[in-house]
Amino acid sequence: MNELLVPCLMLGAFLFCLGLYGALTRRKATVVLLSLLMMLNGAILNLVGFSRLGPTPSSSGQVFSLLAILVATATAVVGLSLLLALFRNKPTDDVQDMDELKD
Amino acid sequence: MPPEVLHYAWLTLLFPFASFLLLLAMGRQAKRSAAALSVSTACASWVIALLVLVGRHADPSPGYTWNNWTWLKAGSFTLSFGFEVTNLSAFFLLLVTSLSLLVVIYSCGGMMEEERYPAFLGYQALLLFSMLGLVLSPNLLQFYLFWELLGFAGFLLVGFRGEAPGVGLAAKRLFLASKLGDGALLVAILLLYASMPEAEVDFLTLQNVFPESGEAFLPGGVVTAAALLLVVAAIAKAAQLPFHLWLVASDRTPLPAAALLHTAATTAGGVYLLARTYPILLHSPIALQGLALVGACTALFGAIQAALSKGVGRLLAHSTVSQLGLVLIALGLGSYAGYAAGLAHLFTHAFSKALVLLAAGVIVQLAGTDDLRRLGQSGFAAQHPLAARTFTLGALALAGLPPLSGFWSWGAIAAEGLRPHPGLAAAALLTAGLTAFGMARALRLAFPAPALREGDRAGVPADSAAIPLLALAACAVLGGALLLPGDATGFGRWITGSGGASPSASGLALALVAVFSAAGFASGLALYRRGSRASDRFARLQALAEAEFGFAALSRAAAAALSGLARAAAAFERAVVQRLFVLAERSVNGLARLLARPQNGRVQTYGLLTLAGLVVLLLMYVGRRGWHVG
Repeated sequence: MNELLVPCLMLGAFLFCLGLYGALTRRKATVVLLSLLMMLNGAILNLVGFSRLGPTPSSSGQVFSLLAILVATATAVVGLSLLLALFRNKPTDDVQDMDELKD
Repeated sequence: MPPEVLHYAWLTLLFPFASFLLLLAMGRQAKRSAAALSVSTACASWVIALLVLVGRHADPSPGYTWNNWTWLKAGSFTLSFGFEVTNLSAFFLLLVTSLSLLVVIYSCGGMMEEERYPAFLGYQALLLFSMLGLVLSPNLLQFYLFWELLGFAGFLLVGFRGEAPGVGLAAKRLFLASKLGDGALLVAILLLYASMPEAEVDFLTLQNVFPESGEAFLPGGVVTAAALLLVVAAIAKAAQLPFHLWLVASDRTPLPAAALLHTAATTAGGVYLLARTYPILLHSPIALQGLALVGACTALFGAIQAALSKGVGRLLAHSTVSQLGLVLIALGLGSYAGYAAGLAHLFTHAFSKALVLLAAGVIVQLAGTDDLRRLGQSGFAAQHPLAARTFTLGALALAGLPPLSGFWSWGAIAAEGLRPHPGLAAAALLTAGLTAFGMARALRLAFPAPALREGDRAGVPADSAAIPLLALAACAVLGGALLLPGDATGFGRWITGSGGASPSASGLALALVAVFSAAGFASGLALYRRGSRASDRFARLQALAEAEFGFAALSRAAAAALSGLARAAAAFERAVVQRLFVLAERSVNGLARLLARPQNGRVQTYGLLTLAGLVVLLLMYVGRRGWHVG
């Protein structure tokens, strides 16, 4: 096991927590979306770290992460288009104002 | 008649019930069809009751019981309903259905002008249904159901003309009195239920547990308590002191309905309770003595009141109260001979009193007044000689004058009382004198001498009142044949179902009754002869009688105490119970608002809650692992 693994996992966890904090506290919808992507990147960093520095290194983790990045991009596109559609309905980008879910 | 007819005794119940339902569904305009329906159903009931009586007469067995309809099942306890026909219930069946048939026929006349005529007939059918159900009940619980129903039907009839003054008060009095009686009966049933072997409360088991000779199979305290409670229930229903006001206040009840309440239904129900549970009473001397004492006081008190009454309705109500007191004296003697004499008196009184009440109904309607004195001035006797004559005949029978029916049963009661309880016999004789005096006074006041001459328009008017009046008059004259001296008809042996018990109407007792009633009647006639000022002499007594000798004030005080209790309960409810409810409501509302707050529709709040849940789950997972490691 490589000694670089732990800092790498720590970085991933830090990125995840930062993203989580941002997703739960930021007001701007685009920033919330960015924070969500940051959480995803924290998770992907775990995959990469284990595939390079884990006890049994293999390339499958990297393939996984490429796939995850692909999916995250597609998700971001969908999220952004949802935001645009919402904005046409109600001209705001503050997530605190987007409370139609309760109706 | 084969005894199989007994298996169909329940049909007597079916007809009035069907009639009640149909009559309630009928409109107010359908008066003719309502009358036809009620007369035909009452007639059908009467025919079946007659067949049942004939069947019972041919049947030597103690009774027929059908008890197979399971109404309630709780664990090992089964409550089954059914019916039981004994000699006693066959006797009551015929008595009740005949009176009810005659009253219903009578109701086709003047009562038709009543606005809610079908409803009136329907209430009568309900009364008949509940009384017949009471009579046929094989166990105390079924008996209790019909007992309650009887009180309810009486309430409906007494309160029928609810808009007239005083009617509401009478209905309320009846309701309260019957509720008190119901309470006593319920407690008595529960007491018996708790202590009877295998919790059986049917009358057959009661007869076995309380054998005619020897000790009862229950502890003495229970027997005494149950017997006393039964007596209280019966005296409330039979309008005895101190519950008599409900009957007296009901003098504005339509007279046909009053005839049923006085003779066939509610009051007779009270007597029937005593007759049915007589084995229990026989094992409690205290209850018997109390019964006889209440009966004696009521008989004397009612007779005095009747002799002082102003109106016909009150007079007859007081007279009923008094005569039922006499029945209770006979039952309180504690022998089956006295029991037979009492039931015979109930029978003779029922027909005479129904006769007088129905005749009074005609008379009051013609004269437009209830007041005895004004009746005398109105000269109604010329307009309806039949009513006037039958009224006179009924009054003479009620007064116990020989050879009419009341005399024979009165003699039987006096004869039974004479040897063991001379005091009770004296009370009965004194009551005879007072009753005769009161009846003489009523006749003198209502029929001043000229009207007693041959009527201007002889002959029987062709209206619906004629048949019942003539039939009842025949019964009032001939009913005494039931109790010819020495029990020639075997009535006593038949009704008690035991060989030796038959009233011994001795010559001495009969002579005493004849002397007392004749003396009372003669003095009444002499005192109230035409033009005398006798009634002015009794002005003070009459004022006292108007106030029921303080019983009216007593009842008002009781009512005030009860409403005070009700007000206290209401205040408690407002102060405590309602606040508790408001508190409960508010706490539930507050909790709901608290829980609804996080549901604000914002994604971030939901996310935060999800995170919190995840953390809790993780902590639990870690904690569980920690415990298990240790």
